[in-house]
Amino acid sequence: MTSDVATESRIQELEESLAELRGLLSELPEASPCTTQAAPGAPSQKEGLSLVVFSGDFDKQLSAFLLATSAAASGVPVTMFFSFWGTTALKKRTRLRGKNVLQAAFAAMLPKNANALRLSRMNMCGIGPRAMRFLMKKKNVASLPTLIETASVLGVRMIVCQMSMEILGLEVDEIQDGVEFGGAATCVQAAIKSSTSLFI
Amino acid sequence: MVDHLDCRGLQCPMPIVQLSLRVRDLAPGDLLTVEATDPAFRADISAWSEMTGHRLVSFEESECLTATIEVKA
Repeated sequence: MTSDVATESRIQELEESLAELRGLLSELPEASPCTTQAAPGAPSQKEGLSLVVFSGDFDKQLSAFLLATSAAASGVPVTMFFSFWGTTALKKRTRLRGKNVLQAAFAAMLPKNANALRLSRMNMCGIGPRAMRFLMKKKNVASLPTLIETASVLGVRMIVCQMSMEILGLEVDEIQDGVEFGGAATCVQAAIKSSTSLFI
Repeated sequence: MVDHLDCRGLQCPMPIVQLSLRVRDLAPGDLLTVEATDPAFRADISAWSEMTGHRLVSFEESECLTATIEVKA
């Protein structure tokens, strides 16, 4: 008799905890980690875009940043690696003091910031890029500095090649804030982790 | 919630950029209507929707391009 009462109360207890568990289960979000099948449109395991931005030409830099911002806005992780002439797009100023003659000469000849880059074709002593910037403004196309800032806001990872900076005599204080500094291995690591790599 | 975003006059890729920034502030299930004049927006909005998983509820072309997006869960 006593055991029957004990069994009944045990059953009652178990039913209560079952109800509690069912309640918890219904509160679980649909996309729990147990979901094995990927939803349509879900990114594959290896995703991301990595760009090697080698060129310092205005038009090529513009293409690189258009791609980078579009990808980042679409939820794709983006890494941009700036080497050689590409580093000049991220300059915020030019410093000559404290550099040797060769480095100072390079510093004086390199574009002072993203607005001073040359066109790869039809540069015409600077008339080309000026005309293009005028047209872009007229047509309300985002400027290169705006795109660089947008890329930063969208979380695009920008890495500047330190070896290129050494050769061109660029110092950290001449490069804009919010970028990382690294070498070829950092670039390769980003490339092998991403599904698409482009050299611009 | 139903939100509205005016991207008229903006050129590629800014409508998509503005759209993605706005979606960050919205809750799952919210609707966002985007108006754009950039001709590439026609193709870009469906590509964006497929990549991000936010559903393209409707797309209309009249004086400008109007798309409605449902923010994914």
